[in-house]
Amino acid sequence: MSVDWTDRWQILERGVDQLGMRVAGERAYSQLLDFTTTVAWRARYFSFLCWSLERAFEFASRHHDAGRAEVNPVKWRAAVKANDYWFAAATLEVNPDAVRIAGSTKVSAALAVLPSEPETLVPNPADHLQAGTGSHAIYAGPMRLLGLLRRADDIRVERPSEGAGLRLAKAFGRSLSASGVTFASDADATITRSDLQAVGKFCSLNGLTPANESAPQVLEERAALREVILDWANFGEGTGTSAPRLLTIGLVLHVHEVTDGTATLDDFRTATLLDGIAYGGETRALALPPVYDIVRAQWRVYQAYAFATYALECLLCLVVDRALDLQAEFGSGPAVHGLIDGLLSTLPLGAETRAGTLLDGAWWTSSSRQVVKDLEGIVDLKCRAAVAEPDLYRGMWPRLRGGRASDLPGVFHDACVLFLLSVVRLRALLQTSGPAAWIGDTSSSRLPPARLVAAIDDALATDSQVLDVLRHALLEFVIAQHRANALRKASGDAGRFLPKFVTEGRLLIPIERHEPGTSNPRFNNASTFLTDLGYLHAAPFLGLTDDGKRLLAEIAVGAPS
Amino acid sequence: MKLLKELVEASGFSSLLVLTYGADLAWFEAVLSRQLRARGVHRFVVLADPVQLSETLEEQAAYLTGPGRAYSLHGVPVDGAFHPKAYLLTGKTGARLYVGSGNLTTTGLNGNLEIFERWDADDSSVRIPRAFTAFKEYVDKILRERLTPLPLHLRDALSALFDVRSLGKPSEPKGTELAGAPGALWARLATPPTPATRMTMLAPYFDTGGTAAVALARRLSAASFDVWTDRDSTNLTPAAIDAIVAAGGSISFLEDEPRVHAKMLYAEGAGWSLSCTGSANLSQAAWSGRNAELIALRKDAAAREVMALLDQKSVTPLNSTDRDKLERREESRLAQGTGTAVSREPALAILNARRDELGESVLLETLRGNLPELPRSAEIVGHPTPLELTVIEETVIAEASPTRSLRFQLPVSVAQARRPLIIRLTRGDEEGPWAVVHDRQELRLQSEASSDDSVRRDMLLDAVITNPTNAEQLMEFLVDVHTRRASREREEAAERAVAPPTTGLQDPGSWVWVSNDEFKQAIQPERDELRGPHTGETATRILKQLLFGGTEEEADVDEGESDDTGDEPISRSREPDADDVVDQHRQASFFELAESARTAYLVGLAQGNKKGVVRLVEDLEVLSVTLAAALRAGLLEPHRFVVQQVRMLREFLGSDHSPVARALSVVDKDLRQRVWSDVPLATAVGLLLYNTVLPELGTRGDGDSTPGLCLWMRNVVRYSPYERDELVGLVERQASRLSRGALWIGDLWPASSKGGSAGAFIAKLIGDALDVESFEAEAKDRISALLGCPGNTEESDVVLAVGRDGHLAAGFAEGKGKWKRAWVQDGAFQMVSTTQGSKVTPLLRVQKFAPVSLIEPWIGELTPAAQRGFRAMMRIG
Repeated sequence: MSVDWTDRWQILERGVDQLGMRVAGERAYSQLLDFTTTVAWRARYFSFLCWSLERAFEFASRHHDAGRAEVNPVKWRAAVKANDYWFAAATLEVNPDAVRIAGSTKVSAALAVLPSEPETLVPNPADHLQAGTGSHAIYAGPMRLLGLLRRADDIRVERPSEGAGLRLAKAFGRSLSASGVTFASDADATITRSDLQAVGKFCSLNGLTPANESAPQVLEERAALREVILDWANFGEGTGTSAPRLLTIGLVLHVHEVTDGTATLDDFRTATLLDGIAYGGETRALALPPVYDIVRAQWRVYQAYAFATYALECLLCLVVDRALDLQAEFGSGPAVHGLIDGLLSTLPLGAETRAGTLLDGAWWTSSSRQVVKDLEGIVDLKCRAAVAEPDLYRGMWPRLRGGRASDLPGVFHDACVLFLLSVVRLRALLQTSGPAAWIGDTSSSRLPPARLVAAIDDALATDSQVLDVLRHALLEFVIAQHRANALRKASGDAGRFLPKFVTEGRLLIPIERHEPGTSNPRFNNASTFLTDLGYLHAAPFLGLTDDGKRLLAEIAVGAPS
Repeated sequence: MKLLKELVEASGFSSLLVLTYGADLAWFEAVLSRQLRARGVHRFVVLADPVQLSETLEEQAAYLTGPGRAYSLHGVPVDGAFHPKAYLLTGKTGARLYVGSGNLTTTGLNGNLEIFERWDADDSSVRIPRAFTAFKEYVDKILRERLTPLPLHLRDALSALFDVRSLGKPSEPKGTELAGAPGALWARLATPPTPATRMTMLAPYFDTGGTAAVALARRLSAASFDVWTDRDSTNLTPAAIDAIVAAGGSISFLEDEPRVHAKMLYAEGAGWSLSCTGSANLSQAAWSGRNAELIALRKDAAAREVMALLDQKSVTPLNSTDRDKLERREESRLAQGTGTAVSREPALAILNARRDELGESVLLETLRGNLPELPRSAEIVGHPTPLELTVIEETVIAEASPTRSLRFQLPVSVAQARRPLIIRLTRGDEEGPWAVVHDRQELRLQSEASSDDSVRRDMLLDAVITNPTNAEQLMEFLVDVHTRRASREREEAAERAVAPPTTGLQDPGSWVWVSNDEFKQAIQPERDELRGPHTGETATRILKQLLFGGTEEEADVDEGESDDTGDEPISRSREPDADDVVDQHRQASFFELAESARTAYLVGLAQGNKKGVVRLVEDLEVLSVTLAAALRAGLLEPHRFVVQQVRMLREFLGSDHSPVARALSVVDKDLRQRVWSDVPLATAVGLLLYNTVLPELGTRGDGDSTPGLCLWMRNVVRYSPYERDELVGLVERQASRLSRGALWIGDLWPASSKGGSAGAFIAKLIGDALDVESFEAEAKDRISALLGCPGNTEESDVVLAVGRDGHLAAGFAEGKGKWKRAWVQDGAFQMVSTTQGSKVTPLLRVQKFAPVSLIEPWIGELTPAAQRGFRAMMRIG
């Protein structure tokens, strides 16, 4: 029909980084924790995939006289995926509760409907993940960074690198040999449940587990993985290319040490930002040697930026929340400037919160010089401050569930304080450690620290009222930034225009609520990796193993013992 | 109807005309127009409500790059609101028109519940839907009445929009009619022969008394009728509710829908039915003539299709709670003062502002209203203080009506800024609405651009390219470019009725390596593809933008002026040095990806897909700018940058068989003068070669340390129509402006590039290359006769030979007796360094060579240029 209603162009994915700042922060910590991503959890995938890619290459290639191989990429991908399925199945066969195994939901379901007899043949539909090469798509990024992969002559095919990659492949192959099972990289191959169990005993992807430590091949494989990840050869007394990684590993281990293995992501945030953490009724400072100084400075700046990100995302959430209320009241979206003035006018109502104890009276009417000075005093206290960013953060998120403010004036007040405190801290940190301490994205379009700090510097130069600083932040860092970020995402694909609001003329038209968040520095992933590598005990208490304690001591002196 | 999807996926069109009340211009630029450009649409006209437009410009001006330059944007003043919503796409072989209720906003095209009717015209049909003709008449009429005299750039654009083959056909006698206002829209509803037995009206907005809804019901003699609206956004007042109910109406809300913004009417009686869909709300302003509106009128069976649409929706009758809510809303609105009438005839309104041909002054035409005293100041977005207007001339267009024209001089910094000019007049405390200054010349250039030009524009504007943060971003960009290219190639292939290429360009996932032999065997391009004025113009613009950051004329004026564009500058703070710690892994990753991208382009070249100079220059541009961006961002260390740059140059101009040389060779001699005077080819290639040695130039002295580069340059200057001194002089003049362009990386090595060393370097390179050419022309035959006569050559003696492309090469001898060989540089396959696993020798081993000792005796017989060329070959050897 040529006349019709309009339908929305359905968008399946929903973006989360609504200000573009999470990615900016992610680029900072991903240089410090480069052996894992937000979805890559298990160390053994490195050695397994090296083995799998090489096996698949051999399986899918035809050798010529001149020693050159011609590979069939389709066959190669299918073999990689089939391997992936088999080893997920082997892992779940021996440990049905194993977590962080790629594709475990589908594989578990498939295993559950099979007869339990040992001779049952297990089919391999290789349908456990959407990606054409299974977990390779998840782990390839960090593996490339670690130099474990290389392109084959056909650039669609990846192989383990000549040195470290092949070493890991062989190490995994030896562990597999210990199981006594001969494995075919072919989805059409058959394998029984009993064979899967035998494989799983030695080659579980969540393993390198204590039970397997009795197998020398597994211990050798673990040693090879440790060597690759730690990369002492490039430590360079704390200035080499592997130093950020090793020192961050040391930092993670130390935070677990200080908290007797109970550290959470929140604790890690607090400890890295404030150089200490409240634990067991006392404040425990991090005690690390000078070799850690540069990396700690980088983590501090990252963390301060992460809290600034959260504060601005909270303000975005509140802008949308308030606009929705006003739209319901008036039938149309509010004028942008009226909306901002309205939000700022709620500050007196919200000043009774815990954040209110940080600053005196009607602080928003004070001069920016005075308020910045007060906040600098809090920054100087580090972990001795009664209230700091982690406290504000913990207090705010329950009040913004689902992007709906349960107490708009209170949470708006706290978000403003969190924004100011985190930017003042960023300013102090960058003054102390220098701009190089920020190793994240410096693109102006992602609001890097320099842009946030410039707003404070401008305010100090003119000694403007804090209210004006906040007005500027709402206009530029929240409203304009969100628009620009949404447009940037949509510029390549009109269907990906997923803003939380749009502006039409002077009006702000709210579209969808926003649940605030910030970047997640992969602390839990790192802890899992370190557990798999034998440096931390398994949950629930991730205390340091003897190897972990030894590693910490080695990092302190800058060399393996 | 997924309208946004239909629009961005439309193909075969070259122009878009939009009529709208409000427009989200930032979204239009960043999303819609950008994606349409990628599909070949390169002419855009947006006509909007002037009040809304002024507000939008005020809010968004800082983010806009295109109004007045990449697209025409006008407010159309009418007594009420300019409120039609229509989208017309036209092209050589087809046209498509949408008329409906959605504005040029993301909610209007992909959020609200709107209604649209669509018509298509194509080559295969004998007649076109009558709506096209009616729409053209509507646009003509409203512009003739409301925007007189019609701005020239708008006349250009509208002519191109409507004067297309697909619309040059007679209209179908029947079908949906279009009815436009200003003018009493309700009068277009013929009095029905019998009372309406069913009548449903839908709109979000009403007049305060419900008058229009009641009047329409009376016009159609409906004793009872339904009024549907949107609970969350309607402005329905209690008074309107009362009036509608008193006239026999019942009010309902649509349920389970997004914001309802559609406007429609359906009525039927014994033996008749009609429907209206489009822009008209249920207000007096819409139906009685003040607003400009556009609706589609259907009758009988066609109207019943609209009824079927209404029947798809579920509604809930208004209840007392709803009424209370609407009452409160009205009270809030009155308390807030919203709904205040906005002056539709502001005293300082600018109907048409345009730059003069030189871009130095602005002509403000048709200032309306009572202006006893003309304004003498203006605000310009991005300019910190109001400008005192230096009036050049004032013209009263018509004594009878106070319509005037005013021309004033722009300050140089404003005139030359490469950003849109958005202006408003001020007089004391009075401020006029914002308006866009149009640049007819720029608009013409933009509208003539090919779809491939979007690649270039995106590259220069895209944040990824100007400030990449990782290799993957760059790769995504290259893949995007590649995909667009593939699409374009296919379209062109289809146009030529030739089967598209079967591999490579069709699918970025199937890239394959191309050997040098395969590469050399590329099919000779067809001569016609390589010449022609359009090709030359585009190539010229691309190169000038790359080299000088704008057109040459702009560069002349801009010399020494501060950059007042407001664009975010590319970071120039990073100066790579030995202590620069760069992530090796990321470098390696980029290295690989760049290799892949390069391969993708080579596939295209190797397939001989009739690339002309423009395509080659664009490819060169994409790769060069990407590499430069990666270097700036620290993703490539200098030596890796050089390796990549050299590889790219090698493929493009490494030999006489290479594509650039091939393309130049087939330009007819009588056209060469024009092409070479328009296109700074030698300077461009010279700068790219300069960039390959820049990292080391500071420590190695001048260009003498890299004499082999002239063997590459000769593949370009060989086809120059200029004398040596003419070309060198031309390049020296152009070189002074190189630092403005996207290919300039000299700022990263200030010590190496200071004092105009780039110009001197390039000039020397070109001089050497031309000298070598002279030498070859005069001496090649005599040298060929000497090949295979090694004489008393000692090891390391300089020798000459013939390279793989048939041109002279220079090198040195090696071995003794019958094992005597020579290694020569032939310019075709030099490598700066080897890479992992792929050792390629930089030199060609030859058995037949001529020792210099046999040549030197007769060198004095040659011209001075040839003698200089000989000495250059000696340095290479």
